[in-house]
Amino acid sequence: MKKLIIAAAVMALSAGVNAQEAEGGAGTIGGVATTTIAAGVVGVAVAAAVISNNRSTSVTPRPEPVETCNPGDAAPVNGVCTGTTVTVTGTGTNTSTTTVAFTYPAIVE
Amino acid sequence: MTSIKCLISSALLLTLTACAGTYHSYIDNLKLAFNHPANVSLPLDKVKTAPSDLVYVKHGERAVAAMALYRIEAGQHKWVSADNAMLIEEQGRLVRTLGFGNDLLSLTNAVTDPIRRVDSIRKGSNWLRLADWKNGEYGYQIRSHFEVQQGLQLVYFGQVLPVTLVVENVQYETPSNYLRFDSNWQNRFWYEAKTGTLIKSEQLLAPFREPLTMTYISRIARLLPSDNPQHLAGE
Repeated sequence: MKKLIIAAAVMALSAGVNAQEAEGGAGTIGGVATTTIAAGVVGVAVAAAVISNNRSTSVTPRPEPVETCNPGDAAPVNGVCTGTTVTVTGTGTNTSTTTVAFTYPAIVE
Repeated sequence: MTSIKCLISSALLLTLTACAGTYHSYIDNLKLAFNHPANVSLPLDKVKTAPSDLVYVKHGERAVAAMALYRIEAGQHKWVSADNAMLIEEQGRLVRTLGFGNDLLSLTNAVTDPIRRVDSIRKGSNWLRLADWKNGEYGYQIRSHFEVQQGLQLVYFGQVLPVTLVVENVQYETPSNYLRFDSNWQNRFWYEAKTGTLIKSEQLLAPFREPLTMTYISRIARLLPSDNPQHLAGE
């Protein structure tokens, strides 16, 4: 009986407190805990992305390397040039010339 | 004629560039950054007919949102937002938050909070409590001194409400590991002068948080006489 009276008193008290305020949680609009984004930061990031993309598309491709040999020599083969040189052997009237071939790496330009 | 055709064709081709994924992402980013949602401001009849009590809440730089009264339990008002955050208060004092990242878990000594008995606040009234935070921060000591300013007014729905302002000068007493200059701030509580009903508050829970401004718009609507203009939106 005592518990019943206490329960009734609590109910009456709470009813008095809450008489005007309506509960239920309905009718909410908008968020209060969403993460905010600094507009300036996004603007800078987008600008950086635009610049970066522009750079990536506007860079001129590097020219292919060209291999050459010394003037008068034939074109290089697999990066190797072949040249010739004339050597003189003997003394006096007994001299003779000999053509000797030599190789050297092609010049990359 | 040929030049006009060329011009139109060029313009059409230019519009096609907007279809590229990169440009879409740029536009989406900029929209996200610059399109802020509008502040909630309901007309008086909408506030009066709302299914639950409403409170306008401005959290930091975010737009004003309307939170609804979810439950009153053990003397605590529990307000819920559309993004499932919750503010729990006792007699207007925020004692717990949910869904805000680093939430306030509890506030000690709430029973002796002077704003529970605004009439008894005198010059020099003070209050000491400890705050616990979700990110493993416990027992942060906060001390407040109170002062009362009377004879002020607030305007809602085109009506003037006489109010009493309670200013709470807050000091965050727990020493910090680094030099900080934001250990002191003010919280404010506005009470309707005749009834003593809390109608607005500004509270900063800690120096590292954003301020929360709460306008109890449903209470304000009940305090206004019924013959006021219905079309005016609240603050």
